[in-house]
Amino acid sequence: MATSPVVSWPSPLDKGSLDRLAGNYYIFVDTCFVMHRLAERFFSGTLPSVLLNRQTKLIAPLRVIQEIQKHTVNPQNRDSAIVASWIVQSYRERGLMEIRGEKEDPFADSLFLSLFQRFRTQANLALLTQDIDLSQEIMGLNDSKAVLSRYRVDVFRLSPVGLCPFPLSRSKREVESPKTSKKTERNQRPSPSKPLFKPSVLRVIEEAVILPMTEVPSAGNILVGTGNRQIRLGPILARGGEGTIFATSSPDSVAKIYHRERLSMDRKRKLELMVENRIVEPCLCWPESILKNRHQEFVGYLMPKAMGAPVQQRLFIRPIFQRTYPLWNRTNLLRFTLGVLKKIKILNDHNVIIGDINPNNILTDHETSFFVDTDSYQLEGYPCEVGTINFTAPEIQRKAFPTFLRTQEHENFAVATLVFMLMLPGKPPYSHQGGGDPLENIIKKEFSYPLQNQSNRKTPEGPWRYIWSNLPFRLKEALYKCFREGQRPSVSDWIDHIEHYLHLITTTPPTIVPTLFPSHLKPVSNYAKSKYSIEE
Amino acid sequence: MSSTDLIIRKEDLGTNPTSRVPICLVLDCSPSMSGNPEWGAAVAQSNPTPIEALNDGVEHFFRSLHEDIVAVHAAEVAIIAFSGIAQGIADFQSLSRVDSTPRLMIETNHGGTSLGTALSLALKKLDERKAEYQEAGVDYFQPWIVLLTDGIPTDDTHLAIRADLHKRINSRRLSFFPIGVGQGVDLRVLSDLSPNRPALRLQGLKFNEFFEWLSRSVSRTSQSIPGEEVPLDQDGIKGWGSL
Repeated sequence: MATSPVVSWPSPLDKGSLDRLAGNYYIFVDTCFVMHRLAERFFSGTLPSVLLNRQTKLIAPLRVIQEIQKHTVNPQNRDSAIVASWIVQSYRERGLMEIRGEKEDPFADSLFLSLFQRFRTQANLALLTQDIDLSQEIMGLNDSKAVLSRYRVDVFRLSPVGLCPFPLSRSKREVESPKTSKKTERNQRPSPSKPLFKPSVLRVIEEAVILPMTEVPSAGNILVGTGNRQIRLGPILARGGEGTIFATSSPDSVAKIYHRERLSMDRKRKLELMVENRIVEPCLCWPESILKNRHQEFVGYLMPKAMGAPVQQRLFIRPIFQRTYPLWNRTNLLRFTLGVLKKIKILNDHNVIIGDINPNNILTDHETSFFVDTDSYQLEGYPCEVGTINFTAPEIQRKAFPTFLRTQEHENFAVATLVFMLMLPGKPPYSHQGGGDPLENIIKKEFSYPLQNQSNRKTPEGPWRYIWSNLPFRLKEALYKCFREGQRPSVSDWIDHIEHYLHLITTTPPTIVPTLFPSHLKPVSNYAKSKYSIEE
Repeated sequence: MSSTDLIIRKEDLGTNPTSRVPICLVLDCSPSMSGNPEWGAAVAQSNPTPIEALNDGVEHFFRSLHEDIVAVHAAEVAIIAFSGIAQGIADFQSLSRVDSTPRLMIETNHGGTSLGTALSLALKKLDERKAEYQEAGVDYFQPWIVLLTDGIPTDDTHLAIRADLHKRINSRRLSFFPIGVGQGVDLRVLSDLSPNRPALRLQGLKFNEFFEWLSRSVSRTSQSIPGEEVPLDQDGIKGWGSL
């Protein structure tokens, strides 16, 4: 296949296009690209300043680095391998490249393919490679109908004139060729991506080992991150129970520095596991690098900066909600909710249980949601050690969170609570007339919103009963069964329900009112009137 | 209270889903708080007088809560001023609907310090508000009573409600903060009403520091979930109080 490259090169990327690429894509590099004879010229050109300006890095899988190393002892490729190592080293020293992956990763080619398959629905991805076969497979992903994505996958290669996009995906020709059509078929087969984390059992910690911190970092200090990257701490942004959040010299990242007594060996191990297996997803503030002080002591971690404000402070207090987003109607709220659910699903699919889902660690920046406090997520043997009553399933109420691992069922309860509280902004599902203690209400499953003619007549006063009344029947039924009968829908089920709701609102004419806080009950259909002998 | 007030109070319960933190400030306004020994002050104090410092403190409290976007929708502050008699100066309602801080005045017509009368009025008001929360289906945190007094009780009314206070506090249905002001107060009397937390003495007239601490505690509580234990900021107490 490597025999028929397209004859004429497309025009190379100018500085502006390179800048857009750096700003909007995750850029991966392949072994053959760094080892190409033109690589040195390309890597010492405008790329470093573009990357610095965009505060971004190239990504090289560990596998690629290992392949380069292997070539340095191969007499045939020795020279280009040495140049490649030099490029990698100098880029890493300047914080322009990071290495990700594990020793057990497959060969670079299949690694790229599986990475791109997995993440192409979450971000724009670019691959720099000279390998025509690989480029075709990767570009073929754009044509895959199995998964619709609003993101792009692009491949670039070096030519004598500079960095050029690979010729457009030749999917038509590929269909004619038996060999490539087989390939396309393989790509389209929905391949369940491998979860980053393994299901596990609770780690037994004999005794918490508290790590020393001889110098507590403060604004202005320089810390060292992965790959010896230097990070200068900026002003304090927030203080919490566990640590302090600082702005950093990298405008898109913030640092969490733990309080002294919170620095345990276990926490460090968990963070290392998270950094080594990053879930790269826009607006998910997953730890990106461990931070150490100048004594090489672990002090905290670096993570993407979140925007907006906690859902509790924006959406769950009606006057503030309406002041902050005066133009919102239910369409916006539903889109926000969908974004939240999809992120939860991605995490759950990687065997990550958020555990402490609550309106203070999900942020809203208009319809975009940011997930923060990810260091408390449950993964492998590390439990999520915190939680709040409202989001805790009845069967684990009063249990100490650090002593067990939560299950998907527990997570589904929290997700259902969140869905309810987004639909009835700020109202916990179990608040009701005459209800005292939220914990008692949850244990007794005293859900007080009606379904058809079933009602305990304790629905809270105010707009809540109107909002409830105006929800689509399917959604009401799911919530009712979940909170009264304990039949908890999965995250995907909720995504379906919300998409259905969105569909009902956005069809013309809408069959459901789009008002955030409707002031009337839903008009009863004639069918329902006759079925339940309701009199108006 | 006028009927419009009642309607507004109820409407807020309907529209604002935030879990409430009801706080009843029970404040001694007897003549001794004037700082004038002729009116019974243990030590002469002016510029500011104790009542002026108290007013500044309450104002500071309201202002701090207004700066916290969650707390201002969660906190409901009622104020009871007392001497020989007790009267409500402000009723429970969401602070987001309160624009001005009520001012306290020395009660010149009624001398004395009737602790029990004041505390039983506070309990009655709390019970009324709790019933309103329940009727509306709004969650709430266990209510707080903050008592600030500079004197020794002049009657035995506090002995009559001692058992009721103890029962509520022990069953975690009430948080009680008794604070003594000045040298004329008997902390043992206050501590006797408070089974799980000894009375504290305000250092000098550090009302501002006290109310700053109180507003932080309210903010922290409002960020948590009803039913959860919110540990008090013990270190913060050192900034204004002593045993």
